[in-house]
Amino acid sequence: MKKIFIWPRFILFPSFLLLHLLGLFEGHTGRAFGSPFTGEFDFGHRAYATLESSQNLILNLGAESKTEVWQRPRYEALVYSDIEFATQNRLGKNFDLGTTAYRQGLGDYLLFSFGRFYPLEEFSEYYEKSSIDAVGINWSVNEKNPSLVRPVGWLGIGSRVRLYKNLTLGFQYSPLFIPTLGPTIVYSKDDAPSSESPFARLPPASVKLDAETQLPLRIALDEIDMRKLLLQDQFFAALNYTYPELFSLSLFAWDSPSPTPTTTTTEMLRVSGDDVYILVNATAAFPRRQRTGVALSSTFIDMQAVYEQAGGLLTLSSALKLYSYLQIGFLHTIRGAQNNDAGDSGEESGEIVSPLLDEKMAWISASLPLFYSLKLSGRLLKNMNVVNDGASLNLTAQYDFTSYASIYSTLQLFAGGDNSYFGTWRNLDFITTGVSARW
Amino acid sequence: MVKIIFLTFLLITFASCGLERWWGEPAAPVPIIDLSATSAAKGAPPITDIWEGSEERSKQAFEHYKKTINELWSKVEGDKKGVFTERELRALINERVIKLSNDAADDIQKVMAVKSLLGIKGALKKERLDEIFNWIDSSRNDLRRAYQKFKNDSANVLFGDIKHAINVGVGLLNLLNWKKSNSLFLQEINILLGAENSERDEKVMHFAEEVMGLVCPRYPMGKIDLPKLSACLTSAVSEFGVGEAWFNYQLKMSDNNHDGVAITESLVALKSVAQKWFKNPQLRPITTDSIIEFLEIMELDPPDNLKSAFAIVEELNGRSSRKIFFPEIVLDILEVFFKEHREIFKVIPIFQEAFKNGKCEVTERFPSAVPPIKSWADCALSLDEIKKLYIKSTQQTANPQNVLHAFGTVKSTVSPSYARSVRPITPNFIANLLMLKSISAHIIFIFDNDRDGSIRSASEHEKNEVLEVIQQCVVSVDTLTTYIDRLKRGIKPKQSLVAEAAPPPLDGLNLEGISQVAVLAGSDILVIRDKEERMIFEKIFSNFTNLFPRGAVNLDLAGVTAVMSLIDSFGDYRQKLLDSPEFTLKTWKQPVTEEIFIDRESLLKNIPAILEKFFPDTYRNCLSVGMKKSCVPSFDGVLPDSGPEKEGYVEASSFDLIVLVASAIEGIRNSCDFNNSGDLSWALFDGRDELDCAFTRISHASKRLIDSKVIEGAGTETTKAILSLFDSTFVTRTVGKAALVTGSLKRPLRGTWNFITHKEATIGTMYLLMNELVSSE
Repeated sequence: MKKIFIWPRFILFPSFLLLHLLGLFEGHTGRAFGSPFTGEFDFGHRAYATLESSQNLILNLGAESKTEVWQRPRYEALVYSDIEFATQNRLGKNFDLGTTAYRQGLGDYLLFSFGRFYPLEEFSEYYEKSSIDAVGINWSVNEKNPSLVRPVGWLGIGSRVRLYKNLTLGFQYSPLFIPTLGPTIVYSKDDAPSSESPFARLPPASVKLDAETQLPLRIALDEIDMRKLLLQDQFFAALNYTYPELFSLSLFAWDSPSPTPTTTTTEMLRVSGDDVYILVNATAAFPRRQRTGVALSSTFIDMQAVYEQAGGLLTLSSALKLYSYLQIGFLHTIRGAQNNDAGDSGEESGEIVSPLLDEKMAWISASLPLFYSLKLSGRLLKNMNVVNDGASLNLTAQYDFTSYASIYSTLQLFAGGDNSYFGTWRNLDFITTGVSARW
Repeated sequence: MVKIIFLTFLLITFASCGLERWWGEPAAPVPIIDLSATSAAKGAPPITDIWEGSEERSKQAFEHYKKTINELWSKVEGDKKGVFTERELRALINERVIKLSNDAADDIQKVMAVKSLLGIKGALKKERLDEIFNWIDSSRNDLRRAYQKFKNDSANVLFGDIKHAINVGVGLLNLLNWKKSNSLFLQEINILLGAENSERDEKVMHFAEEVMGLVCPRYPMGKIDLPKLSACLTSAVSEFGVGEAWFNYQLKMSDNNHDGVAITESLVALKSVAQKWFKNPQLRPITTDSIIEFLEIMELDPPDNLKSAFAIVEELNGRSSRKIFFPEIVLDILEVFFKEHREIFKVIPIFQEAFKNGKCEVTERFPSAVPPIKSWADCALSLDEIKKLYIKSTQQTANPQNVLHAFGTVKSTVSPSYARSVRPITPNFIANLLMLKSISAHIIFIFDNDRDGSIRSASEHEKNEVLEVIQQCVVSVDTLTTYIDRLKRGIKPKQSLVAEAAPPPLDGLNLEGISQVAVLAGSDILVIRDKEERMIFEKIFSNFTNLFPRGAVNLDLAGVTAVMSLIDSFGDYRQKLLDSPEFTLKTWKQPVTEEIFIDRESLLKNIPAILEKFFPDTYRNCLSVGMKKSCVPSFDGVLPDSGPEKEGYVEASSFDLIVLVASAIEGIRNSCDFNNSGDLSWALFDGRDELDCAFTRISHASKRLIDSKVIEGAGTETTKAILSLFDSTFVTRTVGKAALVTGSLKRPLRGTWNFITHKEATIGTMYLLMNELVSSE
């Protein structure tokens, strides 16, 4: 038997429910140093739960709050309720929790944060977390909604110290590790892998031994000790220089388990009664990885480079903010010789190499308020690889007919070849129409 | 507005590459891992290396396949580790994981057949395969050695190699260790080979079973019993090992290091073992039908008269017949060998020494004595040289009697004057001769009721049992030896002109007649006896005094042997005749039977050349009296008229008659030429002079030729009457003797004068006389 390669991103956890509860982060802007003894409780922009009422009818519930304590006690809270109809049941059940942090400054030079946050955002004035930049692609992400992939924040503590004027040094620590999440896939040695979500990337279903011999593939996933997996330390350190109103430059490094697992597999041709199949025993591991990077964020350009030594991976990204309504960018990971060899031999030996998002990916994003109440926005992602040549296009129109209610419609399109990142979903294009209310 | 246009433009431009199919594409196929391009056998050494390759390659191949199979056990798993049930095997084949052909149902049958043949019942277990692998591993070198020896060096296979191969085979039999019915075994083999069950296979099985029954005590009928077969082979190898030296001699006669004493001793020991083994009442007989069927199936083209040739065993073995052979027949065959070998090993040193000293004769068969002769076995010697060496060896050996016997046989049955170009005296020739002698001894033993060392019958007119037996033996021996020789040489009878032209010598002839003549001529014409021997011989048979009926069969050992040897030589002469480019014969092949015919005229035209080559003495003598008056017309008279098959053509085997007559005439001269002068003379004071001897013999021979209808013509009865008259008394015989000298009966007085004035009879004059007799009106 030849080695069978399992897509790392396919591997999920039997105890996925726990991960659901951990939720996701929403966008959050960086924080400036506040006054001494000023505390702030930040309950994210939006935490929501998606409750599935039928195949295509989706109900989102969300909440947003912001509370400042100590000096100017203030309380704001909003509850969202979206109801939308989609031509594709895309989400499945989901629960997302935004940034939830308490920050406490100690004088002008020291700031402590507790809660759930996105490390680099805590340091850089202009950096906005994203899943399609060099840092985001190396971070744990939530892929459950393929049209809205979001980096996952850390739950822990952090501190920042101003070294000199605009030069700050910061540390973050999280005792809890959250790996990349995707649609749930059920693996069993008795059945083919399956998932409720159509967006799940199912592993190969069969192995073709020769022109007329094709056997079903079953995967038995070794159980992961969730306690051990989740209770892993993560460290982040950054040195940041901010030139007010112009740019922010960060040098940073972090040490954490790899967000996507590596798998070791053993294959066996099994025969039981009249049933013959290939059984793959897969063990997922999240080896620790050390990454270093540099990020330049400004009002008109974002540039990042992240290097991972163990895999010899150098990820580069850039985003150009041409206008307030238009941005273009690219993302690509240069893989070292070791990785390329593995890829080549993989093709020869019948392995399937998983297509990745960060392969010569270019994007364009626009948000256009046409007039007071109507806003058009769109984003196109495209891999420019020969094999991985897919694209994703998202277009949204939103009309706010009051300040508390809006109507919106989204068109999500996927295209690409059989073996492309987005081509996997090319038949899953969908349109959603919904009403959103908040109060 | 500008913004909208700009944004739209950018979006469209950016998306243009994949815009053609944004909506409604089919789902991407579920990924399949395709291993079809990666062959597991890539770089694998061929499995045949295990037995065909060098030690290194063999080991490499074995290790590779062992590893591959072991890996398979770790890569393929059934419900129980290390075991595949038949159901699981079927599932693997149905899913084409195990694939031998394109037909799954067929493959299932094949795998089940292999399993059964490997002695695996029910589930396939790893332990059993490991056991088989271990056996191959431990026997790999033996297997390789045996295979390579038999394949690449079969000419040098010795008993040790056979024993070795049997031991390897026994190991395998012990490993497989099954019993199953013949039909099931055949069925499984045919499934494996993809063949249909055929009558042919059943016959082979039947033959194998009969052979097993003949050799292995209580071997079951109708089934294959590997444990029993293994025990039988083990026991046979161990018991018959005592005959190793003899077996080696049989297998490789050309070996220069044979030790005659050891070989004889091993044969004696072998006889004793065989005595015990083949007298076991638990052995079964074998039918000759199955032997013939087997030979036919193996396309070994057994001669048509093979079954009747098997009749020889009726004389050798009491119970066996041409239809069935009982196990004891092996003992009789061994006895024949024993008698032959007891003498041949005394002769071998003579040839070995001649070979060593470069004294081998330059003959047509071995044109240059040095380069092509690689062994003493190819060495041809002249009678003189043999005699010289023989004398030397008798002086050296402690028991010269054995050498004497061997040489005596050669001396008395091999003509000094002819046949050397056709049948050079080689060890093989002598062995053959001794074999014939041995068989003759057996025949004489059977029929020699008064135990005087010879057999006789009442008269040539009486068709008697002795004659028939000898005749049958001659035919049988010739058929069998010719056939065996052909098999040894790997030539099928229908593969070449030469072979086609050499059917068993008596085929197509007036077999009864010619063999009678030969048999009758045997004692007094073909055998050369010295004076003392002749006295004893004649005293016994009283031939001279005419008390005994004329022409009665008086055969002693040398006589029977000589007859057999002569008849045995017919095939060689005929082959040489058709094979030699110097003869300009016109031949024709019968399209259906593929029998060769010779143009009678062209044969007669070639008589001088044939005589010059085959019978140089006859040639010289006939030349001196006129070839066209003597030899040519004589043979013309002897040769049958052209047959109905093709006008003007006679069967190739008719040439045997010329050989017979020429041999007989030279035989008369040789046997009666007491003073070795080359011709036959009169002795005044000896009532039994050379001419007397010759006349008696020629008159008997002629009458026999006439009686046996070999010579036919209007005046033959008159000739017979005249010969009888001349031969009747001492006085009248003088006239006959005179006729021999002059070559004519027509002018007896002149002949008598010449006779008195010491003229001598030659082969030429004998042919003149013969011509006159056969053409007389």
